[in-house]
Amino acid sequence: MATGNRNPENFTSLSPIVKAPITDTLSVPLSQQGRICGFFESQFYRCMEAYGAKMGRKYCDLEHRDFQECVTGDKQKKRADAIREQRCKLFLDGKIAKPYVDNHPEPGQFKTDHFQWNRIN
Amino acid sequence: MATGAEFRQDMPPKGGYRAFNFHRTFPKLVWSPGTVVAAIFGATAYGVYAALEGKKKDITEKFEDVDINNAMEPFLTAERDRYWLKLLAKNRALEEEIMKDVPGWKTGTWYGEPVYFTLGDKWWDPTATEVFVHSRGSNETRDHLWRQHSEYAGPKFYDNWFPQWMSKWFW
Repeated sequence: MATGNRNPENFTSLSPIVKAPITDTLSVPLSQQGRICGFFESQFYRCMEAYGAKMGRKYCDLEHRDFQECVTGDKQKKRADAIREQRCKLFLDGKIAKPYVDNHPEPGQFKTDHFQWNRIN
Repeated sequence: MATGAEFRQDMPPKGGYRAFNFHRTFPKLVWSPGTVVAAIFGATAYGVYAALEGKKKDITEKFEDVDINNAMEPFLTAERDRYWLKLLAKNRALEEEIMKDVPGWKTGTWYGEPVYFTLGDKWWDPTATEVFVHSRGSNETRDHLWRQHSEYAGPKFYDNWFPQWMSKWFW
């Protein structure tokens, strides 16, 4: 937009065109608040508010990359794919018996707690 | 003109037809209607009473279960956290073992680059993508759809009817 307040990403996040308190209230569903990545989103926008729109592009890069990583899971997926690929390679080489661990997360063992920083219940 | 064999007209039998019973016939009474009505009413009354008592019993059982869960909540939460941390530790050990020969790999990172830069020493729980990396896909599906699972986790009556390889397709 002409205001120059755009985020570093191009049209990947929705934001209201007219900036008013009512649009701020109504645009909460367009954000990540209340979801897993709400922490990183708050961190990023707090940094952008501190440095401003122009300087924030430079000094808030880590926060931005963390926010993007949380939303897309890019590094996590790449890590998972690399580990699985290595497991398959070791299995084909005969170094491990199976390409997976049997009954490895037992039922009920996977219990993430992503809201320990800002518990909502 | 009738000649030869003699023709005989159809006539009632000699002495007339025998007397037939024209009175109303009643079925054989095993029990009287009053008894049947009393039995139905009694069964209905007992059914209503049993339903009310069953409802009270269910409410009492639910109350006791909720009370037990409330009393044990600290222990259950602690055990859940211990269970979860054990899984994370095992996953980390498995990752170290598997990626031992990969050059440049550091455990918990993407070739040295941390998953999140700004956390520092703070912990952020991994997602299902990373947690189920050492498992087959059916494990993740099973955990994802666990809410559809029956609460009974013991042996079932149909366990001997189907082979073992089929048991993962139903719970």
